[in-house]
Amino acid sequence: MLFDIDKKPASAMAAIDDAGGQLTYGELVHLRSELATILPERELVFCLCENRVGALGGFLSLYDCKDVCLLLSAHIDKALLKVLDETYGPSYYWMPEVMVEERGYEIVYDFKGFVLCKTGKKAPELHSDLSMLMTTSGTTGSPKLVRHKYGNIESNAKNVAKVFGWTQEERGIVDLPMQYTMGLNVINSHIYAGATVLLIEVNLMSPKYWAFIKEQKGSNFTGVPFSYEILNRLRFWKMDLPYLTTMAEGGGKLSDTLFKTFADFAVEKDKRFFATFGTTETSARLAYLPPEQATTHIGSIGHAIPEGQLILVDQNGLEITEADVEGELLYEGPNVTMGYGTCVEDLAKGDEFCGVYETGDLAKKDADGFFYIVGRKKRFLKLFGLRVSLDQSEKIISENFGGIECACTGDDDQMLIYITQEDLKDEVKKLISEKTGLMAKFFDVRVIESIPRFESGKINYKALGQ
Amino acid sequence: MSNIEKLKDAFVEGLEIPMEEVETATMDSVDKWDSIGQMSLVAIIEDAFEIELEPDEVMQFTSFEAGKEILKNHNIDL
Repeated sequence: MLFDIDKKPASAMAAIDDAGGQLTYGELVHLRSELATILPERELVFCLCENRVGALGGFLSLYDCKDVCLLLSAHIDKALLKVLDETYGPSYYWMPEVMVEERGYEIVYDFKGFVLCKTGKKAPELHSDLSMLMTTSGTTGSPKLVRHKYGNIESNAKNVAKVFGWTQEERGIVDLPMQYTMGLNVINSHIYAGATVLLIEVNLMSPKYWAFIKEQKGSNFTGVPFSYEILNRLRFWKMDLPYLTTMAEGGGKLSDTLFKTFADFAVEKDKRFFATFGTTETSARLAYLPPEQATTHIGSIGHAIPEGQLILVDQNGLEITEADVEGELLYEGPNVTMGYGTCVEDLAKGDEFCGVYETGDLAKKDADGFFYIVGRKKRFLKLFGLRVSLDQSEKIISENFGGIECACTGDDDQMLIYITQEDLKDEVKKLISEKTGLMAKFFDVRVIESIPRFESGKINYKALGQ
Repeated sequence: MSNIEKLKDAFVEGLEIPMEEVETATMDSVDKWDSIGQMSLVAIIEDAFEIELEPDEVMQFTSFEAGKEILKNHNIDL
């Protein structure tokens, strides 16, 4: 069974959520066997997730029953969900019971506040290696999916558990959404180890959050750069959290100042600070910096996880072996997924990455063999650690305003949006803020005479920066 | 500018809401008042009043009214 769930003590707690839900390993085994009798293999299931035991139990069981889940937020934009539903035509949904009424499906099974519903559609053709699907974009939620194969999340859970040294005593705090690759990886690496995850919906700024992790003796925390900004703002070091021994970071680059603050704090308080690096395309983590190196390698993503390899290549695709030379970062390992999907036919496709993923990040390696991300080739930003696709943002803006001219650039602090119509300035800002769910201050809308383009018609982004 | 005006301005700027909604604003009533909004709001308030809030105060800053009480504890007359 997945992660040897059936070999863990049946009464051991796999997950506890902040709404009072509890899930034991024994219940997971039972749920899996029940679903196996109800559901044929190779159904396409949209899992509308919340960090709740019912959502997690459903996903793990459906995965193990060889059904293919697309993990989405239960709070996904309705229009986007409609597009995804029409594009892929799921045969089932696993979703919060409270959402059934609005969708009007027939309930087939229910479990801890979540239900399995039949849509009446026949599942599309799914490649036999296809194990699950996730969306690439954290916020604009483009319908571009990452096709995972069997072995991806299994190997990443195993190797990440090894890196952190998780045992069944561990109590991992998971407030990153389970439909987000790193959130799921934190969960899976704990389940692999027979440990307990503490699933949290309330936000870090809520007193309920801290009361919950104190009461449940949370022993490790994983956050994106934004989480660390909040901890910093909360003067986290003033809090008394004796059970919390490990702090992990990933999902974006922490500023060097914050990195140093937390690396130093960990040394002072005898805790471990792990900087990690991952992508959805590699089923989350691909690199980590050993905690004992944190204070001496500020800003580094470390080296590859077990069974993986990081390679730097130059513009001609040749490997760079010298230290401190920049190149594109490639990763090779068993957690590399199969490729992308943008239409239902893609779900029948096989492995296109073939074990190697071009991260699109520019990196260098120091003389000690530790890697540093220095820039990005691909067109996306990480606003507070949430990936926002620039091309998708352009598409959203253009489509919403009758095909207007629009170009998006920027850095991880702010997106710059160039349009040519003054009167739409405020509306564009409002729209993109709504669609991404991020504060309007992260977007700077600038009106210019025309969008500079190359002869090919492609936008000349370099000319925009001038 | 009076302190109460400063506080109201901080809400308008930090949470991106209209002035008329400030007095009744709570974490539940304002869409943008999530953790990002909270952080942005607290940062603006700390700068505007030159104070440093304690962890508990940051967390309890969940409505305009609660905010007023917290500022009073820092000897700010509203």
